[in-house]
Amino acid sequence: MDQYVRNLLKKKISIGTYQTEMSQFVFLAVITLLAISVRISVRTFVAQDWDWYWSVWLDELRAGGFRALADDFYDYAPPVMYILYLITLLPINAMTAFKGLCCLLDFVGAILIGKMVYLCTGSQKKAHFSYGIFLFLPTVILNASVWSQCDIIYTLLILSCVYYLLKNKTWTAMWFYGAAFAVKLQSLFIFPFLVILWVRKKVDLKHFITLPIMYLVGIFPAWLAGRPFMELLGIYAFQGSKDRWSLSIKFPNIYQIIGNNFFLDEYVGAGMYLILGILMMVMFYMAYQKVQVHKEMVILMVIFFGMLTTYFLPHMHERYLYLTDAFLLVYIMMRVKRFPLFIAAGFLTVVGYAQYLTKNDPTVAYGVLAFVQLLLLIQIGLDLYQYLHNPEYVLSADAVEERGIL
Amino acid sequence: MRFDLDGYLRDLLFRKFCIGKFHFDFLEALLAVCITGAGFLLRTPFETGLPHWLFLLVEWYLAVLSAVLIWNGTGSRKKTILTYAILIVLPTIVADGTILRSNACIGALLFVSALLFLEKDQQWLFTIISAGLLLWSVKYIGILFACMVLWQSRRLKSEQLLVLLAAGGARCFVAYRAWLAAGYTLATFHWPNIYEIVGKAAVQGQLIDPIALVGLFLAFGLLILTVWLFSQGRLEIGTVTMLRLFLFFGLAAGYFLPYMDQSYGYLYAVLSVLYFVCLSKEFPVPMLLQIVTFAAYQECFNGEAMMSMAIFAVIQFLIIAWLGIQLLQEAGVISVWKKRN
Repeated sequence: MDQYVRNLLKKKISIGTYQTEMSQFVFLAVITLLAISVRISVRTFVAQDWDWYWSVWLDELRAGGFRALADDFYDYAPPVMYILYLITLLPINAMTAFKGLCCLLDFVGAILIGKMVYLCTGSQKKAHFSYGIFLFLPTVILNASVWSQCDIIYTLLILSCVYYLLKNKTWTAMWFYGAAFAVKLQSLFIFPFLVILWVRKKVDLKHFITLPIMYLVGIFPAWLAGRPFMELLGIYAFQGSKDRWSLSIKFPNIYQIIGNNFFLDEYVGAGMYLILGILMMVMFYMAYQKVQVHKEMVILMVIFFGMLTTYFLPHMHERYLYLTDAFLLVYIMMRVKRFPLFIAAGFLTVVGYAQYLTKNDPTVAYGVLAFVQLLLLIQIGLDLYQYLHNPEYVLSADAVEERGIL
Repeated sequence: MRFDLDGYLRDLLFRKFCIGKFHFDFLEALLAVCITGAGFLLRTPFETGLPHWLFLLVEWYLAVLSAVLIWNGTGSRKKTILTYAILIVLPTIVADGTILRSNACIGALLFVSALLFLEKDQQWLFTIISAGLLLWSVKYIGILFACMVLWQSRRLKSEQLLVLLAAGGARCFVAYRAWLAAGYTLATFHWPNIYEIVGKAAVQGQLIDPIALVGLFLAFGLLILTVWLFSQGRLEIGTVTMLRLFLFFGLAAGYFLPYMDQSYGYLYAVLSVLYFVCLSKEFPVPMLLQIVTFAAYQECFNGEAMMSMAIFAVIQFLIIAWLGIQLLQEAGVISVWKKRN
């Protein structure tokens, strides 16, 4: 019996083109079932955002139908509102439907992360492990199934973008990035990595056309519904003018160190110009580093720029490290000794979530967390710096650069 | 043949240009122009109209002079342009000139000019400018002690040191005579130093606050001891060592001297940027010092700090200790003392 079970677990199993050992398959099945269970068990939690925003928007959409999109009651990008509109058409509880959709995307995201890890490391076990970790990241569970937030949507689109970039399918990748931009302004946090890829000949200018096209495609139905075109073009500007009550909304960044309740209006502009200046200098420095672009560099750049911009931009929310957490998971699978970084990042982000959901003050001050976040940023920055100066990757001045990512 | 726009633009970024005797890449010029614009815009949210032209001009000139200092010291165009770029958007500079309308930029500008003269071996010009600074404000007193070490290393002559001693001594005497008798209720005005750790409230009901008086003598005593310690070894004064020396003594003096204010860190925030550009592995020094100095300004504007100022005082202490140990190692003092033991 024992031998039979052991042999069975070692047996190869195929699902379509995907082949793995039975033991791996069992692991994936168990972890998936557990991930589904945890999400089902918390599905009835009603977060404040749901009461204040989502349900109000749904009521408007129910009352006005598709035509309601003409009104300015929402400040999210229109594609998210189309999802809400579709939900109003379903004969099930709206919150369950919305959470269900986002949780479903959690699983798609986990699969994509697994595929990306496999692409970067060639290890199926690491891919399976990262699939499981992503599904059980506290912030991933809390974001969709508890808080009813939808950060997984743009994260998934950016994960797809990077996945296809790594596979050197540039057009596909950039369509996904364009879609991410159409869904969420936060996709711009990592935009400088695309500029560096352009300098290193991995992306061309023509690929950037996907951003305006996808944005226009995204707002087109809302325009058809009757919302003024200029208003739709400026919807992100309106988003930026919200949340002016604090410079950092439970987010561990520089404002938690120097003060987040003063110069509220002034720092909006100043913070943006400061990060613009910092990004200019970083991009200037990186543009001069002629190196082979490997997958590790791409992942590192996404994490670095994601962390850097959020560290200095005002009005960051606790949820805005969702994207970098996902990429950090891919990175630690490539460089296992950085695992503590991932653990620390996970703890940092969950503090803000916990405060929002429980309405209790955190036991650790945000200022302390901001210093920890700074350390994480520095470590990622140093890893990137070491990559750029690794003699293995540095190219001579007259070397011809490869078109694709290695 | 098809026109390759991507190739053209990528080539343009690194294309070399020459105006007179200035050689530069397009990307360098682009950064210089864009960062100047960003620096200007960074100041606008704090103004009702345009930023004050005088402060803007002095801060811009400070960035340019600092870049020249780095160019002379390193000969690297990229380091030069990065120096300019960092200083033009440095939050401490914006806080002092734009938000507070204070004059720390003039002191920093004068001292960077003095360093330029010192680098060109024009010691008398360095001495005159430094003496002027010492006469102007006590917050530059750290320079005097760094100059003592420069004198030990024969970068300054005895007569030049005497001029500096006279200027610094006179200013300290006059200033502290007045301050100690002024009945201040605090021993530090937003500058996160030792008093944020031991308690900054002055002892009341005394003719002179004993804590501040002890702090004053403690500062001078410790600085003299450190200068003596350096005399046990020998420092080779290059650009990096010189910057490290001024940073160390400057910060150490302000760490113990009573009645220092938020603008104390301004000059050292600037010097730490120059230090980092010369020696990139030292990036934690300007980064942490920037946090410390900006936190000081923030407390000044807002009247309260986000976290205990003692934390910033501890951070500053770590910076001073780090710089001091490096200097002592460089001077060979630590190895000399180990042998004697």
